[in-house]
Amino acid sequence: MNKRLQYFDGDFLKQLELLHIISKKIVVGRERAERKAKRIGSGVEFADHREYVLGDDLRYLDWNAYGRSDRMLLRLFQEEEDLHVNLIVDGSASMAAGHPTKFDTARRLAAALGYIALANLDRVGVTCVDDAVRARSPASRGRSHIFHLFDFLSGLEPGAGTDLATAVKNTVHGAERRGMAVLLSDFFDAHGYENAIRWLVYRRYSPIVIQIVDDAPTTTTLRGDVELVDCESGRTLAATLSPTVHREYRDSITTHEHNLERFCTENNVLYFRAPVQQPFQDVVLRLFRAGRFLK
Amino acid sequence: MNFARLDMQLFAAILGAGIGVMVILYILKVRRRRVVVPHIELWQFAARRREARTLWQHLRRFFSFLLQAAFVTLLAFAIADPQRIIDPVDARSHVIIIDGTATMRTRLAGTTETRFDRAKALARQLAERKPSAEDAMIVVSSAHPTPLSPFSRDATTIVESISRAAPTDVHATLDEALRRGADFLLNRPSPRLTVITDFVTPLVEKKWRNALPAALHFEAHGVGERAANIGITSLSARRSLADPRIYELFASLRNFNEAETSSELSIYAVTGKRCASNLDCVGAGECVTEASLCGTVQETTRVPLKPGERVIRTFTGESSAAGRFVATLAASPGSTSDDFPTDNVATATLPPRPLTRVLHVTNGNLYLKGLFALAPEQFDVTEMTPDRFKSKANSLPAHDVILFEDFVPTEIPRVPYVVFAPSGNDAPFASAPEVKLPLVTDVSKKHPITRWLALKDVNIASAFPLKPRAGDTVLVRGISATGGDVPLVVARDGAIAAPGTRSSGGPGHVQPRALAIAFDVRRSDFALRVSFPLLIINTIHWFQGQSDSDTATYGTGIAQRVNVPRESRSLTIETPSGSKARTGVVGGVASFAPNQVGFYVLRDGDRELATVAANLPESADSHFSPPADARAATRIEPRAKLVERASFDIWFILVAIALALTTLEWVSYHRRLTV
Repeated sequence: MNKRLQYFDGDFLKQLELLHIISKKIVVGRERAERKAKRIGSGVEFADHREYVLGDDLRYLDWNAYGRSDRMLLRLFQEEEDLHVNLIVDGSASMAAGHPTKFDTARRLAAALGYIALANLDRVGVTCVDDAVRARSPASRGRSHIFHLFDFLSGLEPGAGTDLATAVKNTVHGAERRGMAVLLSDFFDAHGYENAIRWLVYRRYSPIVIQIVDDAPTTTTLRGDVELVDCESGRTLAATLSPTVHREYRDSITTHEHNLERFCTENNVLYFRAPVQQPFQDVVLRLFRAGRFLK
Repeated sequence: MNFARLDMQLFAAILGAGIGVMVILYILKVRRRRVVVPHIELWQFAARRREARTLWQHLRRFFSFLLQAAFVTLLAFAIADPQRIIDPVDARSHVIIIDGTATMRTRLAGTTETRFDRAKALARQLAERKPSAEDAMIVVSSAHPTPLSPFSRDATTIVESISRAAPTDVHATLDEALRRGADFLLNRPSPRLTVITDFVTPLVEKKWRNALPAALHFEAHGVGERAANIGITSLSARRSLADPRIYELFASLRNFNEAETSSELSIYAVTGKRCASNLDCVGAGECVTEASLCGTVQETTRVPLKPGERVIRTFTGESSAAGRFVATLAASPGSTSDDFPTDNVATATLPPRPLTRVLHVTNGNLYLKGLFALAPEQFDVTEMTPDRFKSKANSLPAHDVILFEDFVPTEIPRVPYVVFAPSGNDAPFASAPEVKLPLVTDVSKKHPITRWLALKDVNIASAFPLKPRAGDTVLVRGISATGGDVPLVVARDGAIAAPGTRSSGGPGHVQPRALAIAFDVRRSDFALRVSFPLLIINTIHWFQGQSDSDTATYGTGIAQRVNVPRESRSLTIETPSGSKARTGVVGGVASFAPNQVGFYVLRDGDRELATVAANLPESADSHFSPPADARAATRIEPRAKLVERASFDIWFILVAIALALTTLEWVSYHRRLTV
């Protein structure tokens, strides 16, 4: 079977179309390519004044202001441009857990967000990372690119260990333009996830963090003496699983999620929790309602 | 304590091996299951909290080890089967007597279980709960006590012997069984005698207290309660004196209940063919299931019985070829139930009709002549005068009995004889001088010759008072006009004469039975009485060993003597249940004690010699009726005391504790308390 059809079948596309319609209702009256870039450039809409410095184009000098205030001020215009949406998908081995796997859920979410963005004529680029940048789909624009996006996502497989900070650093380092960055991961990173998010903030991206979680891990039914093996690092831990240990493990998971959410809040980063057991549309709708993805 | 199954060395080896294997298994590092998890750091965090209690963790593992060690040790002890070392002071002996008499067949109200079944269950209970140091023996009491097992300490052996116990149709007291039980316990430690009975035969405790050794612990357990009963208390058959082809059957019934009841009495003439159903009796009537014999019904009559009433019914009919009768009694529908089925069946046989050859030495006696003419099938009479008798002393015709009248022999004959009015001291029966008009004052009711005779107001012209010898029995005694004692009829015991055979004479032969009548019947009105022919016939039957000629039935549990041909040495007895046993013959008499209601057939090889009907004996009215409340008849130890005496094998307790421990370990393991 075609890999794309395996993951993104007709039903999935119908659901994406529905999400697109919903997104249109949420952002009423938006026209194509009307997103305003923060960049000041050669647009037509006046944005601000600044002092003239030597070398500036005299065509943009505000002569009226000079007549009134005897100051040489240069008129600035907000440049109109399409938004860059960077979808960063965690492709580490820990994303292979869950039913469906966290990686599948991340792929579906990325596909949905990419579809909405392309439908809004935004540029969408996808990067799969683990401990480095594993694969990248260059930013492209137009609805016709949606199937390229699906093909790219379908071809990904969860692989090695996680080092989000390094991977994100490499991702944003090679990016031509800033924009929105949606980071989809379980954030199970032995090196810490904080630097990865900080990198995005530092490079003036508009980061959105989507944490993929498995609320019903299969290990909860295990009892007795076991040897736990980390799927990424291969580290082992001899443990005796009991209801108490499982309870404490669940507490650790909850703490981990709360820490991530608090970190994102402190850094003005949108945070969403996406359980694999929950339909991906719900997460997308929550994202829409948060108001930052659709402008 | 010692071990029943293992010696100490083997026990130590098993225990050491068990503990060793357990320690090795504990030391061995069990390969853990590998479980792949994402982000092990989170698990590490959870596990670290557990590791903070490492000491407790070790203690718990050690606790688990101790539990397992205790488990292995207990199992090793259980395998060794430890026994308490029995101090001679603790050793006990116990004889359990189960009443196996007929009334123990009584059904318990509302069940199909009998008192005997209940008694066996109680005995089994006693055996199973007996202390391990107790030697026990089971004895079943019927006509005679029968030990079913030797003294044994093994409860299984005792229980197995109890299962072999079976009741009989015998009514007997427990006296002999108690005496025998006490004998068994002589010189044994801590003797204990237990009787399980229905108390139909009352146990007089005081009597036994005095008779039994003082150290003997005696107790009685009662089974059964008040039971309803109607029964046939006796059944006898005889041939009619007037016409021997006609039988006369006498049945005595009794209602032992306190309510009026109605029952149906049936008389069957049965053959010797055994049957289980009517299919086995094609051409031979129907199957009388109560006796398991084929037969035809002769009479059926409904008999109403008032509370406690005894009713006698007589039946007559033509003698059947087999001469065997079975009477059955069944309560009519709607009447009081009958819980004692054993006395609902009775059997009887017609006495045989042997031809008796009588030699009558007389000058003429029409009375006696007329008497023998009544039953020509039974008597072959040869009459001869005294002179002819003396002249032909060496060539007499064959005869079984001699009647001497008008003649007193000087030599004692070789066959049983009757002598009338013997005079002088030389006669076989010495007599005193003649006395006039003696009066009859006393008639023996115990002797079969005079049991049913009425001799009141018999007029006798004169008599020669007999001088009985030692061993002679005076059957009729009178008084003379002067007041002197006048023995009128004297019987002398001796050898009997089997019909058709002749006493072998010769030196040293046993003198025959004889009867002397002190007067000439022709000079009295005795010859006109009904008693006269009865006296003569009874005498002839007594001579032939038929002590109770009108009742050819025998009581169960009582040793019986049956006349058989002298040449027989050993006989086979076929019991009513079909089993066979052998018995010896001494002097033409076979002895045996029937213990079942039914027909006993005596055979010499294939030749059938006699058929004997055995019934429950009718010696007391209360025999078939248990007391109003048997349980209340004597003290009964409460069941709780039995439980107190109960003991379990130690191995059983050890296994129970081991199971409890392993259960505890299982629970603690699954609750992660000991891992």
